[in-house]
Amino acid sequence: MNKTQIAAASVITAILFGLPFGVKSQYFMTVAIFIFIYSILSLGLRAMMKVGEVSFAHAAFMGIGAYISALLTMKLQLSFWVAWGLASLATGVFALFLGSLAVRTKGVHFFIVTLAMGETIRLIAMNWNARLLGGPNGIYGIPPPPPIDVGFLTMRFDSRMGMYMIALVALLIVVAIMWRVDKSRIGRIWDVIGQDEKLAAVIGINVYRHKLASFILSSSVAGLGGVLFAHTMTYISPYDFSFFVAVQLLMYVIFGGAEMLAGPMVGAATLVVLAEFLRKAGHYELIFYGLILIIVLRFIPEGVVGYLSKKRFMFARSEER
Amino acid sequence: MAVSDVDLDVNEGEILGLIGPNGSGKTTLLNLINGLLRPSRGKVIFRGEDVSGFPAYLITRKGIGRTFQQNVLFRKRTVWENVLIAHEVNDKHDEWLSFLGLSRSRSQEKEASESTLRLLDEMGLISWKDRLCSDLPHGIQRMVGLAIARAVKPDVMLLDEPFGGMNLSEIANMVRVIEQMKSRGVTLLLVEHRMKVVMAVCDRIVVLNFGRKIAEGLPGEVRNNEEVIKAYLGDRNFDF
Repeated sequence: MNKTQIAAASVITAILFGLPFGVKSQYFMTVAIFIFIYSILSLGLRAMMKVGEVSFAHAAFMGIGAYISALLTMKLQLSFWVAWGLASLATGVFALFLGSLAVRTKGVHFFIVTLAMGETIRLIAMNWNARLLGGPNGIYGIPPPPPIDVGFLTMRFDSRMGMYMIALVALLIVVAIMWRVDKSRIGRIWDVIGQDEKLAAVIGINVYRHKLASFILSSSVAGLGGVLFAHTMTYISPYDFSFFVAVQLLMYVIFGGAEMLAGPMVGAATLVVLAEFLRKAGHYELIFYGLILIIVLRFIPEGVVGYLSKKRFMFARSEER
Repeated sequence: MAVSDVDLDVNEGEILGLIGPNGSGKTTLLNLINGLLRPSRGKVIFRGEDVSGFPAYLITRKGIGRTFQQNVLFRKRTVWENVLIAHEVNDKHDEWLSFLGLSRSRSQEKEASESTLRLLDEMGLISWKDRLCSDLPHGIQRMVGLAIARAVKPDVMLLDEPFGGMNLSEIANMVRVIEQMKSRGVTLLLVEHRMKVVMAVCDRIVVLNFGRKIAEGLPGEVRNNEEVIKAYLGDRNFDF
């Protein structure tokens, strides 16, 4: 990151932290929380896209995190903070087992395998042990995070503002992790696997191991985001984690562009806001989504952020001359 | 069966040429050696160790590198990035150190980037280093393919038609690089169509036809072998 980027990132972060003190609208806060959550989920999806695969089980892993955290806080009365960590880890363990099968395939086959896994997980949530998982009705009354008492100050999280802060901090943590991935050798290795698996293997990369690692990271982040989703909504059902949600997340990444870290976040922010405007259109909303996807793929396949950054580089280069 | 009953010994430090008409199984043999294909029968022995059926990345780590007949490169990345990643993968330090950005891994990253520049310079690629691989002319792409394979620092290098589609000055440069590798103790197995170059460069030659070995020996012996001449007759690449 150069100085301009660091400055821009700091300013944006400061504004985001300050925003809830200026804006009191509950509606606005809720939209912002969902932008953060979907940014987290899209960043997770992008991690797998780096190795060249799109996981359609991503929404299901989000659901695994959500259900586990809901059950841990409601049935075992664990604190939200503990449940959050445990649910993310547990999602990672699920990803280890399912991923060790899934990453043996690639391309269209990986798509089908993860699609089948995702829908199977959702059908299990729908049909297995309704007393525990609530069947198609899902789980009601998921508690908000408990207050943190540090003596002189008590932080409460049962408001929109509290959830906003938690989601923002979580997003920053995920961004930091993904940024380190991108900047390190792991990111470069994942990148070349995504470009040519055969050549990657021939220069000595254990493609299977790295794809599995990517799948686990990607899915754990989905679980982490799912926990936030559950405790923000206070109500979850299998319908919240369907194939369409996976497609929606993929759209965020494609719209913003997968190459840069900012891409999925810009994609999530733009399309979540757009969805609010399109709310009146009801089911026709999907038509707009489809149109946008076609336009982006046709004219700026590198996504909005990819396109803008390319433009900027061109200017920079011509100035150098 | 694409290849059967081929018994092939490569001696340390030599350049062994592997020739044969189209479809005679040369590339298949390379794929069997470096683990892109698993042999249904037979063995690959490297330094006394049976490595048959090992996955490709392990074969590479044992010290066998290779190039491809087509230009297989990380096309959307620059020449420098292509060669750097091959260097980095084969650093012995763990990539998780790199994830944490620790200073030890930083110095090793610097080392990798320095040896990348050195290698590009040696192979006459330094002026291309910031170009995207997809934008390079064919001959330069072939050279970059070899640079990637060399960055892995193999003891044995399998070259699949390194001169394919090259012009004369590019061929001369490639010959120079191959001889440079030999002088540094790298053993080479060279699959090639162009007989003149093979005859000039190789210490020994093995001839395949229909997946079987039909001749083996010094370039002069192979050139005059009856069966070899018969196998090559009618082949458009026949230009001794």
